[in-house]
Amino acid sequence: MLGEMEQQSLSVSPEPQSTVDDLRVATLEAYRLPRQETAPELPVADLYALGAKVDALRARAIDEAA
Amino acid sequence: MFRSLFSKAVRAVVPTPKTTLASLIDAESVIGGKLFGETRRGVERRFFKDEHHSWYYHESATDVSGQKLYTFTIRYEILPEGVLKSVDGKHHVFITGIELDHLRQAIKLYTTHIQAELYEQKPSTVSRAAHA
Repeated sequence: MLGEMEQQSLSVSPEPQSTVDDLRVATLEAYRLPRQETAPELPVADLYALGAKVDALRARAIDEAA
Repeated sequence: MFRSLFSKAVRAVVPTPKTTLASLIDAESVIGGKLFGETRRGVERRFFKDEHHSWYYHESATDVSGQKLYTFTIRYEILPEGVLKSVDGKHHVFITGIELDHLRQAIKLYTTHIQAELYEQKPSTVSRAAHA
């Protein structure tokens, strides 16, 4: 299976002027993998960050109390 | 209610010192409850974060004789997909729009207020507040 996939990807011959992205697309298509434009940003990333800040405040207070 | 909720939440992760973390959360929840404005006599509000990624809004009311009128707890669980809300452990739904904006504002205010009113105080004051 892996050998078959490698063969498929190697059979993709990008144009001479291909960009890195073109190569990536060609490779992904050869592997039949879903294309992901960019890393998805979590819709609640800021809430995770605020929660981490609260955790840090607690941890510091506990350390100081010890 | 709160003590059991805190101790249950804390017991799951932090081996020691359990009481201190629970006490800090308890102190924070009082500050958090004030973010939503004045309450009527007999109404108690708490708002706090557990040691995972969940936030809780709790409200209870008693009449003049001390008889319990109502109590409810809303849990907001922060997940990679969004914020999952449940009321008293039921009715799970991802929140959006104004409700999500309000929660976001509340969490920002909470972080600012607990820092100023609890954690930026002298350690002895923090300790007193946590064990009040």
